[in-house]
Amino acid sequence: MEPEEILALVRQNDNDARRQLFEAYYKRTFAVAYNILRRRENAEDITQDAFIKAFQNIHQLQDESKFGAWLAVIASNLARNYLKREKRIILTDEERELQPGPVLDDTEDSVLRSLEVERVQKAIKTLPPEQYQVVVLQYYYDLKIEEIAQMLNVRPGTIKSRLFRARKRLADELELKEDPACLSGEGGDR
Amino acid sequence: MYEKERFELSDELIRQALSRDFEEIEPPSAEKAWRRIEIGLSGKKVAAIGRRSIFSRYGAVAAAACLLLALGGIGLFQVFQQGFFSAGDAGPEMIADEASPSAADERSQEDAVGIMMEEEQAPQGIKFYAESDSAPPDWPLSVSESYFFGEAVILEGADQTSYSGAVYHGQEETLLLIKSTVSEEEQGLFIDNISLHLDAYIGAAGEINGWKSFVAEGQPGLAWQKEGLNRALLVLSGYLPPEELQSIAEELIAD
Repeated sequence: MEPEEILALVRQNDNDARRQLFEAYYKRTFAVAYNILRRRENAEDITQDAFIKAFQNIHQLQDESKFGAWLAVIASNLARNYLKREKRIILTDEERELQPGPVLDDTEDSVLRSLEVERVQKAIKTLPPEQYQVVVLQYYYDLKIEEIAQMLNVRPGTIKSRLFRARKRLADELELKEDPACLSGEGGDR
Repeated sequence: MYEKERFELSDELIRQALSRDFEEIEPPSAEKAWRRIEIGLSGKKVAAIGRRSIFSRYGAVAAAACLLLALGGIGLFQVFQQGFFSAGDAGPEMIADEASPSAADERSQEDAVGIMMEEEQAPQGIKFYAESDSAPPDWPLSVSESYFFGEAVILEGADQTSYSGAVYHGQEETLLLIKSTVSEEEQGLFIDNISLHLDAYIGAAGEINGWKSFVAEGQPGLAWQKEGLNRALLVLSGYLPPEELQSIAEELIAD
């Protein structure tokens, strides 16, 4: 079934359709919440709340193709606000056991690439929630800056600013010297 | 030897890192999560506070005359859990990192994705919880892993006593957890006030296994003290044996 068809059924409160969407997006939505909260139990609750709110407000989703990104925004906003209520500053990171990564060709390049990816993975976890949110929306969900701005109800300049700071922070974390052009947030290869 | 400066922070690298992160994470049981979501979706949405008691609202005991009174300041107040979509105070980490001219944009993100908490119109005489009031307690999102937070309420009496309450929905039962903020409050008075706030008949309190027990509109309730403040847990609808209620209360005390 096409995503548009599924969402049409969800709008009619079809439980099976909801279940399909849940199964498609549960893991990544939990990941977004967890990376902000760093607590499994809290992330679990926030993830469930995000789905509930998404299904209850599905009529507000204008572009069906953006459901995943929209859900990620809901989850990350819930997580951010939970942190604010708790006024908890994250000092430690609950180290989670990573599942083994995909089996790669064992050439030197692929091994090095895998290490690079792992380093960037860890660096991304140091991003503050607002920056993490826009990084996920741009790089994982492939939204344009204007789309992110609209979804978050802020100005495009704010998104650019957050992306700029996010990339700078990543570069600092990775101890890289980035070309200023790469920090623009527009993305060199988009 | 591997050199850190060998790679550039490309967009593709960030994408791969995010994709791998999402693939590698091991979330809790999806089945359990879905069941909770279904319960959450089927939970009774709090409608406008009307002239129905909280018991009949949640479909409980057939009460002869359970009306909410909005006289003399006695009434049931409804609190919308604003925390999810209110900016509140940003933590210091966020403030330091978000020094930008777009502070107004930050606040507007409260309404991101257009999801608004619709405020119900309250009947006259019943006051909504105001932002200027002190913040409600942070209620656990679930109790005993079977009951999930539904709504937060304030119970306020004519004598200025004020209790915070939270409604939790289970598959077939609904519970009300009440917290008093009045220190050195006699427990019997606390239970009497609950009776007034809820406009519900509560029979003489007894004791079960060391717990202060009572029956409110035919439903079991328990009261205890934690950190010098009174607490109560009562069943609003459905059937829950007293010993099971006690088990839930024990978990709450332990938290």
